[in-house]
Amino acid sequence: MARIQVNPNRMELLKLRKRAAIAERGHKLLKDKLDELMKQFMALVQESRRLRREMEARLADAHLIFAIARSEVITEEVEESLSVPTVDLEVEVERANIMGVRVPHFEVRMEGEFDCYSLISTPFSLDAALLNYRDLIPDLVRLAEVENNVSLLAQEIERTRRRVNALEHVLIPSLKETIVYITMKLDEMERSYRTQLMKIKSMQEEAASR
Amino acid sequence: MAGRKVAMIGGRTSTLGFKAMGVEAFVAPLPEDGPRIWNQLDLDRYAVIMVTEPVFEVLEREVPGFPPHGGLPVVLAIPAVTGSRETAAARMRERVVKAVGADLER
Repeated sequence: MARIQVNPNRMELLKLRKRAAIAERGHKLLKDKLDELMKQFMALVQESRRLRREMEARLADAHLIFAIARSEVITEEVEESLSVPTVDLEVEVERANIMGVRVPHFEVRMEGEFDCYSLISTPFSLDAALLNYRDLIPDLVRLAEVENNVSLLAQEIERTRRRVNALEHVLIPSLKETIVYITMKLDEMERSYRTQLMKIKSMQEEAASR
Repeated sequence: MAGRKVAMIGGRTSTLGFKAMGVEAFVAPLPEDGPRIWNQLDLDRYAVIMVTEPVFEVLEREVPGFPPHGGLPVVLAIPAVTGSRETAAARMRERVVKAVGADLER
């Protein structure tokens, strides 16, 4: 592990010790955050899976019923009937927050009736078929929201994991190594100073005895 | 924030029912028409854009940066009338694998 390039003195040692303590605290906090993110993420994944399964089945049904309804009339007639929708569909976008991740939240607003067509020229099964679509739309928007949340959370998890790993495997070890290096260097200096003193003392004693 | 619309890109049959419900439908007669339609869309107007799976696959291949990530609109892949091709489920699985590091499909 790469040692940080610093002057080996007591001042730096104290600074590094403080930094190591902060890094370790940060690492613990981030790791807790990652755990919680993971928990939320799993719940969201489960929900999105359930919603999608449900939606796909209902959509297949809706398409089927619609196809049957269409088969009772001429295609152009149906297309003409549906070409000018009278339903006003809008989605209100709000901001929500999951574990500090800003995610959009959708509220569907549907106004007006969908039977914009002549009831004489279309079979009544068309009404039923269209009702299916109308009921599906809020759920589709909800599914879009949940899947979007999953991908935003996945991104945040990746980012947090990278930070945790950087702290755990790069910063903290290199700080620790540098601390050990400075401690040893200081000890070494201390020893060398002591030997010098002993040598001087013995030389003085030698000179005195002569 | 102001209300946004819902759009849909897909085949004629897949979009017709949604069109009657106020979804702004853009018909792609062939999945290959998807990129042309996508590039003409005013993306700021929409909150959700539903794309049928065949078109979604073509867009993924041919439009750089598709699907847009992080902001609006949110792209939702839905099965076309021809049935589910599991595209969306597969994408979701990839995302989970990338985030968690393991496939959690049971």
